[in-house]
Formats: sequence, C-alpha cells, structure tokens
Amino acid sequence: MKILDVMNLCKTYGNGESSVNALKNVSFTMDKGEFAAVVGESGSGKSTLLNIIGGLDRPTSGKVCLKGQDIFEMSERDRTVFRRRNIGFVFQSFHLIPELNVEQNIIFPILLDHKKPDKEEINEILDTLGLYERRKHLPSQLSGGQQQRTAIGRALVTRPMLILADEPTGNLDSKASRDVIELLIRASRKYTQTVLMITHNINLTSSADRILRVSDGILTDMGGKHDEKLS
Amino acid sequence: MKSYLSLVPISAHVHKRRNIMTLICIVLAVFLVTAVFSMADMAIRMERIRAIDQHGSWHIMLKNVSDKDAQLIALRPDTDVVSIYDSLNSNIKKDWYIGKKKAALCTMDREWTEDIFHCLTAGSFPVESNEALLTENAKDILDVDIGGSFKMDTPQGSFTYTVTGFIKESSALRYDAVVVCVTRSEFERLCGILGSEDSDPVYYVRFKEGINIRRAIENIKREYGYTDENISENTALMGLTGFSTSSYMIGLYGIAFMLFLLVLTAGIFMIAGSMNSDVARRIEFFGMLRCIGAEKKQIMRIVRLEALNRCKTAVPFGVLLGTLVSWLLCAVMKFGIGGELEDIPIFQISYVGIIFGMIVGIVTVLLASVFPAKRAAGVSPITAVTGNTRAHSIGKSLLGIETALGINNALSSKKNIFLMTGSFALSIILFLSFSVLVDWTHRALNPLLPSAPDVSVMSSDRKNTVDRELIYEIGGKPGVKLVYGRMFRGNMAIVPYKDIKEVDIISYDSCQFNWAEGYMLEGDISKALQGNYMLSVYDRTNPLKTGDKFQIGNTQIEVAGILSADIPFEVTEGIPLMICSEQLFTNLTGEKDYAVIDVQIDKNISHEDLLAIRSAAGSDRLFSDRRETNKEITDTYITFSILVYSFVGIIAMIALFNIMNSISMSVNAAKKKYGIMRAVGMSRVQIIKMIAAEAVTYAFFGCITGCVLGSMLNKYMFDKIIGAYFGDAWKMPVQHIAVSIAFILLCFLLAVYFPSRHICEASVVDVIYEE
Repeated sequence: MKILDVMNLCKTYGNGESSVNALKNVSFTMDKGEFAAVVGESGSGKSTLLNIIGGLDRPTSGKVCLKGQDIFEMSERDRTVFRRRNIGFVFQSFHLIPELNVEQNIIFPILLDHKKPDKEEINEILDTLGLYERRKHLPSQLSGGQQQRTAIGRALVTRPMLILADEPTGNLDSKASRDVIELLIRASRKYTQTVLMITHNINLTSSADRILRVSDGILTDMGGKHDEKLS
Repeated sequence: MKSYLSLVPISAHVHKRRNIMTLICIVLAVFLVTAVFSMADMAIRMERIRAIDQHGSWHIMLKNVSDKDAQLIALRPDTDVVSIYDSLNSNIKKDWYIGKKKAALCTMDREWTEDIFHCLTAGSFPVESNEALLTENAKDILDVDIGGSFKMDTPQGSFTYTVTGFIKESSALRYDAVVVCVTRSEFERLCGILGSEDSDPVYYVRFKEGINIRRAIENIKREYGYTDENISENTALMGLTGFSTSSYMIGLYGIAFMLFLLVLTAGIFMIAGSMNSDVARRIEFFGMLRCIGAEKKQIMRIVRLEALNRCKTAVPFGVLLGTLVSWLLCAVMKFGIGGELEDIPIFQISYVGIIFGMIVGIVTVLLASVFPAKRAAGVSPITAVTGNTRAHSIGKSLLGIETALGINNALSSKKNIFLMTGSFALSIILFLSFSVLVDWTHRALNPLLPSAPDVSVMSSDRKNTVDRELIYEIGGKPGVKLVYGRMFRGNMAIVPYKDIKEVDIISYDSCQFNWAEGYMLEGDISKALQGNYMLSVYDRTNPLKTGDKFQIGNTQIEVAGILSADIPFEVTEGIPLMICSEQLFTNLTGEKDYAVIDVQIDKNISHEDLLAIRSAAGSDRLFSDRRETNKEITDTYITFSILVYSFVGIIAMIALFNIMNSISMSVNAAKKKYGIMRAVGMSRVQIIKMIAAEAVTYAFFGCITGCVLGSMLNKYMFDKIIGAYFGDAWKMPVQHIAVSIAFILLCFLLAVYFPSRHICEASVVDVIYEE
C-alpha cells in the first residue's frame, strides 16, 4: 500500500547566477511499513529532501503526497497539524526539551494535539525502547543513545504513518548506533510505520529494505530497479 | 503533566536564572507604577486634608435656589450634608460696629461649622436667639470670651448677644471685620429690621463617599432645572477627587494620563526587549517545537504564559517594593522636609497604587509579550534541523569587519531594531516630556515671586484712595521688610486701535519694574521706567505687540514690551492689561494715591507688630493677610516639585536600566556567536568594537527618533500647559536634548562595558557553552 508519493521534486536556493539546485526532479514512492535509507555525499541534497518530505521546507516545484494528500496544498496551520499526527521526526542532535523528563518528552506531541496520553501505550513504548526505568530522568542524566531512544519514542507516540530520521546515529558511538537502528526498525515493524532515514554510515543500511542514493540533487539509485525492494 | 502548557512552569523552575532579567524588568515596572501612584495617592490625601481644612468639605454650592429645593436635595440618597450660609453686610459697607471694628452678620447650620468647614475652634453652636459665635479675631480686637456678651451697633439699633464660641476665619469668613454668626431664626428677624437687600443665601452640598459626583450634579441640574449659574464647585476638593470640570484641571489630568501612558510604554518596551532577547536565544527550541507539530498559536501561548508566569513572582514583589519605597519617601517628606509636608500620611496602604501596579504589571507583560510571541511563532521549523537562523549579508565598513558585523547584528531583525530603538527613544521622549512639567511647576506654582506680599492694604472701594504717605508710615514699622504700592485704573478709554477700545492700567514703582524684568517676553523694560511707554501683559486675546502705538486722550503711548502672564494679576478678556510708571499713570489720570499697598514682613514678626501695621492701615481700608494663602501655594509647589522631580529621577532610572538591560540581553542572545568569533581569532578590542557598533546603531536611531518625537511632544505639551496660559513661545529644548543625549551616552558606555568585559574575560569555552 503506497503511503508516500514524491513527484518531480525540485528545490533551488538563491536566484540567477548564484542559484543552487539542491534537488532536481526527484520522484519515488514508499509503501506502508517500508524502511528506506537515504545515502549520499555531504551537500548532495539528502537533508533538503527529508525536510521537504516532512513539510519543514517548501519545494520550488513538485509534489509530496502522504496518503494521497498533497501536503503543500494545505494551509500552513493544517500542514502543522497534519505533520503532528502523521510524521515523526528523529534528529541527529536529539532536540529533546531539557526541562522535561523522558516520559514527558515522549508524551509532549500528544499534549500538543490536546489529547490525553494513554498510560498503557506510553509504558509499552518505554518498554520497547528500554527506557521504562529511566522514564523520570532528565535528558541531561541520559547517555546519547538513551537520549536518541527518547527522541524515537517521541516520534512514535502519535503513531505517525511516516518517520523521518536525519542522521539519527550521527552523534552516537557504534554500539549505540546499532541499538538505535535496531530499535527504530523494531518499533516501525511493530507499529507498521514507514521509515525514511538519512545516514552516512553504510553499515547501518544493511537493515534497510531499500537504499536511495542522492548525488548532486538527483536521485540516482532507488534500490535496484525502479521501486524494487532490496529485501 | 496534563497539557503542553505545563512545560512553562517546569521550564521556569529549572531556568530560574534565565528569567531573572525579565523578572527584574517586570518588578521594576510594577515597582515604579506602585511607588508613583502610591506617592500621588498620599500627596492627594494630604492635599485633600488641606483642601478640606482650607476650603471646606463640600462639593458644590447652590446659588439662587429656594429653601424648599435645598431641603429636597438634602433628602436625596446621594447627598450627605446640605447646609445654608447667608450673610448681611459682607462687603462691610454699612456702618455696623462692634466696638470700633466693622461688623458683618451671618448665619449657617450647625453642620456648616462642624461637618463642612470644621471651623468651630471653641465653645458650641448657638441655640438661642440671643446667642452668637464670633470670628477668632474678635478675641483680640474686642477682648471677649465664651459666656461674655457684646453689642453690635447699627443705625437701626443695637443688638446684644452672648458669645457661645469662636470660629476660625475660613475662606467664607475672610473679612477685615468681626463676623457675628447667629441662629437662622435670629438672622431672619434681623433681616426684617436691618434690611435684607444684600442677603444672598447659598447652600453647601456634600455628597456621600463613593458617589459619582459628576453624575449627581447632572441629575440635580436636570431635576431642578438648574444651570451652571446656580452651581459652583469646590474646585480644590473636586480636583483632588477627580471630578473637576475646570478645563485646566482636565488638561492636567490629560497630561498626567499621557505621561502615565509614556511610562507604561517604557515598561512595555523594557519587558518586550528583554523577552525578545530571550526568544532570540531559544530560536532552535521554538523551531524544534514547530517540527514536532506545535502550531504558531501554541507557541504564542507558551511565550505569553511564560511571561504571565513571571508575573506570579514579579508583581507581588514589585507591589511590595513600591509600597515600601513610598512609605520611605513619605517618611522622608514628613520628618526630613517637615513643615509644609508634615500632613502627609505615612504607613498607609494605597489601594490605588497597588491596583494600578498589578494591572500595569499584567497588562504590560501581556502587551510586551506580543512581539516576542509572534517572533517565536514565526520561527521556521527548519531552524531546528539546520541550526541556522536567517541572517543578512553584511555590508562593507571602513571601520573593519567587526564594526560591520556589529551594525549587521543590530539591523538584522526589524522587530529587534524597532524595540531597541524604541527603548532608547522612549527614554529621551519621557525626559523631554517631563521637562515641560518641571517648567510648568516653576511658572504655575510659584508663590514666592519676589513680589509676593505677605499682607496688603486695599481701598475698600477699589479706587486709588490709599494715601501714598502710608508707604512711609508702614515702612517704618518693626518687622516690615519692604513696602510698595500700585495704582489701578480699569476700563480706561483709548482711541480705538486694533479693535481695542479700553485698557486696564497698573502703575509700577522701580522696585516692581526690577522684578518684572525677569518676566519680559520681548521688548525693552527700561523704556517703560520713564516717558510714554507701557508694558503689555500677555493674554491670548491681547493684540498689542511691541512697538504698537495708541492714544489715551492726547497722549500717545508706545508698547515697550510684552510681560509674561506669570505676573500675578488677572487679565480681563478683551481688555489689555498695561503696566506703566507711576509718573505716566499720574499724567494720564491725575491720581497719585494707591489702590493697594503690598507689604513684605519678617517671617517671625510678632503679633503686636502685625497689629501695629493693621492699625496703621486704618479701619476704613481692607487689610488682607495673605500668609496663609502663600503657605498653601508653597505647600502645593513643594509637593508637586517633589513629585515631578521624583518622576524625572525614576525616568532616568528606567532609561539607565532599560538601556543597560537591552544591550546586555542583546549581547547575551548572541553570546555563543561572540565566543565562536573569539575562538577563530577575534581580539578583545574587536569584540568590544563589534558590541559597541551594535549599541551605537541602536543609540543612533534611538536618539534621532527620541529627539524628533520628544521635541514634538515637548512642543505640544508646552503649548498646551505653558504657552496657552503664560504666553511664552516654545523654543527647541536644546539644553534638555543635550542633557538627555549625554545621559544616554553615559548609559550606553556602562551598557557596553559590562557585557564586553564578561565576554572578553571569561574563557572561550565558557562563553560558547554557558547557558
């Protein structure tokens, strides 16, 4: 079942001679529950692609449809609410709220949606992420891996259909990196969520269903044949 | 944690230090308003006590109304007291005497003496028809006491009364005569015998506390068909209770309100600047919230709630501090300055001050949070992902890259430059506005003009009939410092000139001309000392200008100059008031004697010496002791001066704190950047230059905006409260502008010094990673 449909995405920064084409006619689709890794050189346009898919940035042209809805056809407010409910973000530098403990950080997106968190569901996520014992700890009292797992919990909590992870292991050592990726895969499988992850670490792509390669703003490889899954 | 807004108190608890500058700003705003309003409240209470003491505790006086109407008005639920007052021979023209002293007769209700004027100093109110009260001056003049009797002689017969008590000479009883107060029935009987042609009963009305007096007056007017002619107001008391209709009082309220708004705006800018810097420092945090799905409205709510959350601590603290400081100031005024200010209450709670402080605190914070909240809500979510905020490319600067960076920092955000420029500008605007009040205080409330007399001797018929030799006689008495006289001729016909048909003329001697020199608006005063020259007193309706020539009889008069309306004479609209030498006055009128002789006496003159002056004046002349009135105006002058100068001091404090805080917050918001610049090799001097360049940019725009807007406001206020009444032309307040710019520069130096020192002296790592 097709969840994400990226069509002829272009992004140009600047005007005239100084303009830079960050993305050139990128098109691809992703199915429900699919786990894809995006690889490419620094400055190749990976982050730009992820930001546009997440509705954080606007494309110069092209469309991003999630569950058939073009996110750039929506008003800014509707897009924010849509993002809150359907897209989860995991950042390289965690971006947790330092004043809130693990549990509070995880439930925060639910509170933003004016909903009451389900205690059992939250405990289940904490269990899955191995953070139950640490749920009352502040981010400053956690290791990098634990902080990133908290960020993953925050991304999972609203049960989004798409999780976007921008170098989630960039600030972690190799063991923590493996743990985080495993958790991300396990959680997405458990909740049948689609994951699009940027990474530099080619070792971490082995678990991905598919590898998208971006070079100079062009999607050069979509995992073998067009739309073919690697595994 | 039940709502996303729960983040606010949790965050505030964790980051106590981060909030401290904003907290200080709110405390300062609340403290200032509470202190100022509490002081004003105490000053008003003091003035109210004095106003009641000197003018009586009544709100309106009804004239030409029937006794029946007065009785009905007394029954109204909003009326507290209604009391009649009537008099006979109040102009003491009739030959009624008690002993050798002229006598006047009056009647009133018991409430008049006990509730309204509190003037019964000894004894009790008369009940029987043969009983009477006397004014206190009778004790000395007639040598009578309570229980004694006296006889009032009139051409229609003599009337004997027993003294039941004494009343002090309140404003309604200020005659140069002994006043006899009898019961209403006795007064009516005497009216039948002595004639009631000058009887003119009036009714003093006091409304109940908490009543809307303005509405009550309008109701009475409507219900009884009264016009403004029927109702006089106790302006002193009404003004102090905020119900005056006097256009001048309303003008003053307007100015006070405008200044209050300026202080409020300064508070808003101060808090907004502080919050804005706080938001600038947390751009990535707001970006992250947007990333995880926070709507713009939610971000704005978070910022507003953060601000309001600070009020929980800051407002009570500010109120407490303001109240304590007002107590301290009142104590200093009462015990330190004393004298005129000893009536000021201390250790009293000013609900006005507290309520205004609280309202201002919350309203200021809510208004101040608008800009920062919008800024936070406007943060792009991509900021959190990339870590980059939008920046403008820097321009070239002849003074180096660091200067260019500093200027670029200042100009990079429109909202920021607006807030910072506004902060600087407001300090200047406030200073220039309040400086008008200082000028006004000197002009409007100066009772101690060098010419202010302590006592005056006037002709009873207002003609020039006071023998000029009396000047020498009084001048020789002990305790007399100075004696000077004036001749007066009203409505003197002139050959029509510029639509003027008549003028009022007053003569000055050389001593008065010397005093007048300081009040010349234009022209040459020396010409007026001799020859056919006159000075014209400024009035809006007076068309005479320096150099104008007009004729009185066959004598051609030239206007030698214009005198400010500061001089203490009332000018009749449409009839110019002219000042001339005694010689010219005599040449024009043929008169040599004075209409009034003013006397300045020693402060500690003995009672006997004063009586000697009084007896020299003679019983057929009016003797007016103005010392009490002078003291009253001096009190008001001192109180008002203290308030105005306190305001100016407070403004200087706001300006200093605001500028230092603004620069400091701005530097703090960009601290990480400065740290990184030091890390890549920027020297201390370059860092200081960069911070200074940023501050100079704010100061430059702030000074220009402040001087332009401040001068405009200064002119508006000057024209409104000084120009319109005293005739002085507005001049660019160069001195005040120079002082305010110098002060701003001083603040600027202090503002740059402390944050620069911190960034330069702390280790690079500390500067970059310091929270």
